[in-house]
Amino acid sequence: MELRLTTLGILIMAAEGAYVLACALLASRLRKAGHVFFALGFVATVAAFVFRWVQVDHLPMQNLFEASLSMGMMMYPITLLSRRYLKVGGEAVDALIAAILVFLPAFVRKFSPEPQVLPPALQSPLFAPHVGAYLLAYGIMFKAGAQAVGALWDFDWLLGGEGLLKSEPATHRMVGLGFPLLTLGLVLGAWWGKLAWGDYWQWDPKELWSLVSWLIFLFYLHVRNRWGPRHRVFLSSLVLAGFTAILITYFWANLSALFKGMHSYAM
Amino acid sequence: MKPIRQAVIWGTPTAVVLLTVLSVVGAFLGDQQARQLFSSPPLIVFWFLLTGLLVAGFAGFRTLLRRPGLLAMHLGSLLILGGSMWASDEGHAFAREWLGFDKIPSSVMLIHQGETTDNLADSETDQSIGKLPFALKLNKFWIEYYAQGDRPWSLEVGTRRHPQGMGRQTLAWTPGAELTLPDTGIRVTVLQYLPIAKPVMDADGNVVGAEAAVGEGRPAMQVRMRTEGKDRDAWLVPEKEQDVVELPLSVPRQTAEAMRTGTFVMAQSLLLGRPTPPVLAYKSDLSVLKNGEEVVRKTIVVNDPLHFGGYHFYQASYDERANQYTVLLVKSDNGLTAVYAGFVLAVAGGFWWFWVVPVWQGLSGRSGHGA
Repeated sequence: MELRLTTLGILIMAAEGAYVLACALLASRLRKAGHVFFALGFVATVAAFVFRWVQVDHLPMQNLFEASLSMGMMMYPITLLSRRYLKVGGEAVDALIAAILVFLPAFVRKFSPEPQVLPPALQSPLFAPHVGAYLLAYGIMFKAGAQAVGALWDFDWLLGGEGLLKSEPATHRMVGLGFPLLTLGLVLGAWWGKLAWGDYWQWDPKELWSLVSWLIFLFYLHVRNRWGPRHRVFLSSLVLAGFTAILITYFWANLSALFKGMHSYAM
Repeated sequence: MKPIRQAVIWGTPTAVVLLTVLSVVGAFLGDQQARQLFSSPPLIVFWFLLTGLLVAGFAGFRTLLRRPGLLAMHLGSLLILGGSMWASDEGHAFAREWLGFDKIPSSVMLIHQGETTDNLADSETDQSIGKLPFALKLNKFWIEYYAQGDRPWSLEVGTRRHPQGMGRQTLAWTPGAELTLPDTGIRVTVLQYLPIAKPVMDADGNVVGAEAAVGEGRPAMQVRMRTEGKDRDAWLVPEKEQDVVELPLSVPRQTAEAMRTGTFVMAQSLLLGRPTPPVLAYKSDLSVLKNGEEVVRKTIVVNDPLHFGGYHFYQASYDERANQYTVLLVKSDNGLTAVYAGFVLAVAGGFWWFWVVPVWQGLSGRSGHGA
């Protein structure tokens, strides 16, 4: 843990504070105030994102510091879109997810803010769409995971609301929203691998964990499509397994020496 | 039709679960062993079964044919699997044996500047394994670097200056902080770093220190070295045209015996040197020659290979000492069209089925498949 009293560090800490407050207010049913702080946190992360972009002179999605900041920025638009168009609630949990994501670049030493240049392998037009699609998909699947917890243990008071879907169909909608993006990330990665290294697939640990995440959600969609929502516990457990696989892909595969591979620059 | 449907209904989840479990195992094995695992005979059978399941899905479930999104996703997956199998070493062996297409799936080319060659070599043994039906000429190889800016010079410990920094270790120094040098137990503290300095000489013209200067110039660093409780202060002051200055450390003379027994101490000197800037790009300017005539010319970089005559040529390695040659990875492009078509279909089908159809159904007032 460390305190980062730079312009960037202060912006990220401001976002962190706003997200924590938003989470507390939304959980206490103070929706308007909660949304104001959620929006303020979003503005602070956008400012931090732009500042970082200028600082490093490339899209700031290269390492865990930048990727976590970017995902923390994406949670508020995901929340708004989900509530308005998909009838999926859970803003308090979304704010909590955003707070956890932003906490990492704000305080955790392993998420180093040291600016890095893009190595030749990352200088590709596919860098932004590949990483962007994955980060957006992960943010959406985190929300799907929260809804799956709600479907297992009946947290509708926190995740649902009037005019909103119950947790099980909400989970399905979120997975349906995130799955094409997960597929896009996977396919763009394979295309990029072909252009950079000569092979679509390198069997590297991070690639395999990302395939595992995709396969679990693929399995969930097939089961849900074939047998409908009646196996609620099984379906929700599958989504939580997919959520866990994403956490492993994002954190463990990057941070652990156990999974050394061609994606190690993502540190 | 019912047996096919039953086979697909139970075979698909089984195959997906099996592939998931194997992928987890592969992630723990590492890329080399995972590659071997997924190319092993039982897994080759598995890939064929998976392909068969997809085909059977079309036969058993007419819905897949009637819904464009589902059709595209499944057809895309089929094309990706088929294209990848065709592109594999085994696919090439099959094509050579049964169809007479003789292409080498993967090889390397080492070409010196100005040299023309059509020789393909094995990436591990460097032995020649075939010829291209055309030749490649390396007009030039070069490396571009990021601008240096005003980064401080790096403090290193090692035996001698080497173009690639081999045998040296960069020290993460901050003024005032004490560092312990590897192997020797010598403790070093950076007392001061002057970004632009001029040397201070004694009466005999020897450099004895440095002082801050303005304008352009080399930096200087004052260090304190502590060995067995004794302190020694010294300056590292590069001369006008020097990119590195060396300060010998008090370590015993290293012998061939030490080298042989592995007790050789690398930390023989402190070095203050201009840091090597990060690489921006490795570039090879290539010409494709047919009957001695240039038909294509392209400068390749990582992420932008040359595609010609059924092969891709990738920037893979280079002459680290003198930049006199380049090493290209050569890959056959078998299956490329099928795989790329599969990518497009799988992604487009996914967005169509999960995004467009529910929006369309919402707009037209029908309940979607989403919930």
